Amino acid sequence: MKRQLAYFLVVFVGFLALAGHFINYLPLNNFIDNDATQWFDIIAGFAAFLGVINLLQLHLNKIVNKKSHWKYSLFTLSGFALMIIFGFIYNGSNVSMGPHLKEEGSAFYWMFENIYLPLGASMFALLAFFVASASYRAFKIRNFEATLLLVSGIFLMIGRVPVGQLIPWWMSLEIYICLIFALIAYRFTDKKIMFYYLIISMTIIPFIILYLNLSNLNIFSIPDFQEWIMNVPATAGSRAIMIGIALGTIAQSYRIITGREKSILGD
Amino acid sequence: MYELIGVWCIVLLTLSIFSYLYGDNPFYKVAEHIFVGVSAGYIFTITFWDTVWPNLFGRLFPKYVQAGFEFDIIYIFPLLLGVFMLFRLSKKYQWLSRISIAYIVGMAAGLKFYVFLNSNLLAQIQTSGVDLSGSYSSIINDSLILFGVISGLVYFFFSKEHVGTLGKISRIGIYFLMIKFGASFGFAVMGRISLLIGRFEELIEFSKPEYYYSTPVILIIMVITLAYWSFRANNENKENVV
Amino acid sequence: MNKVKKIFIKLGHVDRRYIFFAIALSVLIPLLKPSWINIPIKTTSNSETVFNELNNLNEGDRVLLSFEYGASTKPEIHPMSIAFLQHLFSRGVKVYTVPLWPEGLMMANYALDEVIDSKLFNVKEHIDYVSFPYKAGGSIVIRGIATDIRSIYSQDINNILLKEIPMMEGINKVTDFDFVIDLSAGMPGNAEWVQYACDEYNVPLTSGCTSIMVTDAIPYVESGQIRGILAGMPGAAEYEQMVFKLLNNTSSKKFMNENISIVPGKATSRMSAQSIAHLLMVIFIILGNISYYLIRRSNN
Repeated sequence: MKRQLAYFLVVFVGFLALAGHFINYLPLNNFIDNDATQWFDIIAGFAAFLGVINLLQLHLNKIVNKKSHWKYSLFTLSGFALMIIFGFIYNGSNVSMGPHLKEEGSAFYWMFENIYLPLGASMFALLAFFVASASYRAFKIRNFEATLLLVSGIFLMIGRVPVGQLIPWWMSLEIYICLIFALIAYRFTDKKIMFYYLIISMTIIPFIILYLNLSNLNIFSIPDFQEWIMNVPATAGSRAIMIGIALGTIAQSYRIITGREKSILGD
Repeated sequence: MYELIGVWCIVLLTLSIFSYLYGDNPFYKVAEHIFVGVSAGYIFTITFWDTVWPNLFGRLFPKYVQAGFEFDIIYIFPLLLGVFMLFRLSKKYQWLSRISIAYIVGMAAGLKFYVFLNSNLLAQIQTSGVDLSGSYSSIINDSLILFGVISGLVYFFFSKEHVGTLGKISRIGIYFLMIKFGASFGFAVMGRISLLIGRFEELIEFSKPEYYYSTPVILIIMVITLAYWSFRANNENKENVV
Repeated sequence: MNKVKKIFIKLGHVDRRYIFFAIALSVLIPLLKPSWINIPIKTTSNSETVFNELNNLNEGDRVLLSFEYGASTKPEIHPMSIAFLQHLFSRGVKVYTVPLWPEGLMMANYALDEVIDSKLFNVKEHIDYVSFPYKAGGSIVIRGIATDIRSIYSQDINNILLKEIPMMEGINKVTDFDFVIDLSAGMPGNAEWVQYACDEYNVPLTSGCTSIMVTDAIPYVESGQIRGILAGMPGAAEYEQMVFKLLNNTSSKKFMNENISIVPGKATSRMSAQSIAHLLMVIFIILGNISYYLIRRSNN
């Protein structure tokens, strides 16, 4: 019975939320647009409280049982306690409790600006170093798919910044020739012959391009080529993923609204 | 004075986080744990004062809260459901939290159904079509996009084995997806470097005399401390080996 | 030849701390010495689309500017918000700012303060711009703005009732705005604006977002649901450059104060650091691959 009540509520609320888009009945529309969504917000807020209480339980448990690195949990609880004190007890500004969170003179705002913001920003910025290190170690041309990934990433990194414009058309051409030979290298049994073909191509083809007056084509400009990569193949891939996710979300939402999904209540 | 203390806190915490680049160390661990605690406190406080206080108590006790709302008795339901959510911590009454989760899940499912159908599915399929009245280059590009979308979706179709023609189209779909992931990687790098530039700009700003050279001072202290710890750890390792 | 091979193999197995140090230097040196590297910025078609769409706005048009970013993503998006405000005020457009993140409120205040303190424009609150307060809810708030803005907001940021503000006359839902500009770093963001407001009610939308969000937003851009997009800091620098040229153009000075110097934005000066860092990353990737190829050949 306890479980059935929850499933009934899922189906009822789901149909109600969906009905708000298709039924033109003012009290229903008002309820869906204003009240039902506010309720969602409020209950989600209590879910956030639950998460915080869970976190505190974890760290208190660590301290009480003196688990590994328990002393650091003291810093966690101190940070939390300070924010609660400045949020609910000590104001420090002229405005009332509540709006004081965003008031520049309040203690809470000081903690927010000088503790929370730099820590958050630095955590994000730290990833720049690890992205560099990870791509240096892991980004290898192992197969054709990895090559495509690498090449599109490199073209984007170089083409999006001003330095990409400094690369002349003939250098882009040489890069393309090298890439083509890298892809067809497995067909050459004698690598020396492949090397000779590469040198000849890199010498002759630029003159052919110059003779045919094709050096102004967008493909030889790295910024223009990366824009094409973004606007065409990357868009196709993104759109396929977006449509796939939309289909999955719609199917899952349908299953939830019709009560077919049994695993949604956190059990 | 509070501003100066704040600047020194900013520099100390930023450099503590960056000290992880050398290796895991107490500076980083302390900063990380402070971040966890302060974030939890921040979320708790903001959620209470910005969501629960005005929207819930503002409607149940309007004269006291004065958030610009009128008394509305039906808001007793979200209060009850919110309290039920907290019963998740109790083993005996945990089943009550399922009711609150049911509301959230049902609401989210109902809202997402329509918006994803409209904006992410129908609109995207509509614009994937090829406009044959456009220029040659736009027709070629649009056709490529259409082919890429179809082949990418074929890759995600797992109800049939990817062999023969289906396998070949699926393979081409992977190529389009790989180009997309490469582009995402490039943008991710770009974004992270931008954030790093922002942090470095702030550290450079706070190394000026008006902030009492906070950046170089804290940096030197940290480097000396880390070098000392590293030296001591090496010596302890050597003694253990002996 | 073997010595060269050994050097390349070693270069493919450098301790990661040296890589961190090199990346740090590549960002630090251009910031300390900006005059050493000065490369002109080329605009992309998406940034030009954003610029042209806003350039087509007329005096008195109403634009909603949504702030969904915080201090952690400020280097990427804040220059865009300054440039947007300068562009809009230079066209005599009425600006309505709404923060959907708690930090967005601070960011909106910083951006407005910076533009107003520059004294470049004679703008007055409640006549040329209105700031809404922060309301929690994300996509719920967007939906509320789309259907009935006055059910979400009864006062502005200074606790003045909306019905007492002249600019708010006739503003009841999202269709009463001529354009929506979204500055986003996560959720809620441009996707939520498309899904809950602008697509359904056919209101033009443009976006400035962090680089990471761009590939997910690009299908909306290509389908016209978002009209142009500013992609991260390079996008901000491109847009800044276009706005800088526009402001220096004498024909657009109707809403500007004379004899006030126009300063280029911050994103432009950061692009040299971005360029060098990217170049270094590409060099590292190439070195790693050369080493991998040489090791694989010697194993075969």
